[in-house]
Amino acid sequence: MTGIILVTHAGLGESLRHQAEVILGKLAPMTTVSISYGADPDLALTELIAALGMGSDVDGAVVLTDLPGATPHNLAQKAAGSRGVPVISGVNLPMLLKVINHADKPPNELAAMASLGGHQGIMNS
Amino acid sequence: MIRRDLKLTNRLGLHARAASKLVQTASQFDAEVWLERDSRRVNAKSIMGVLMLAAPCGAELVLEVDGPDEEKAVEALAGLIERRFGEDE
Repeated sequence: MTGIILVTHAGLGESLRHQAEVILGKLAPMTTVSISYGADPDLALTELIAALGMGSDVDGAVVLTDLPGATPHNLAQKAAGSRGVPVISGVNLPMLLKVINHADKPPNELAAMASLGGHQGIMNS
Repeated sequence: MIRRDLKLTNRLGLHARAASKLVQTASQFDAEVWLERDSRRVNAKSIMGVLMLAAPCGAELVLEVDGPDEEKAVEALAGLIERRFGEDE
């Protein structure tokens, strides 16, 4: 199993997780880390590194962030990048559902599926 | 291989929680399970696939199941849809 770690602006990750659990009708094991606007970056980075340790499963972990270039993503990249943990930005509910349903895949494969699921959810109809 | 025509009768159609129940049911079987609506054909074991059908109440679907336990799978999935996914209306 691969651990799922959501790193987002305040409240977004918890809300996404809650909706995914309602839809799937089961608890979805994952770690959520919220970065508030006033957060001290050094402290937040330390928290993130701890979350990476706690949130990793036997096969490792993937990190999903909401907005590339924003602080949660940049800090996640810093914490995860050097540990070889894939970071995928632009998390949305389709991406999260895909990742939860395929958490038995190894991290790199799961990262590719996350990207696919996120794109699949965008339809211009 | 078995193909069966089905019609959605629950008020909300194939919404997120219903799609999730359908995927969970389909995933219990070894057989391959496909759902078709109009020209779109999706893997019924993929929640994103099923959601992308965007099928409302009244939509007509074709269920296609292929594998050793196909008969049981068709009965379970057709039953789930006929019971309106356990919803009241």
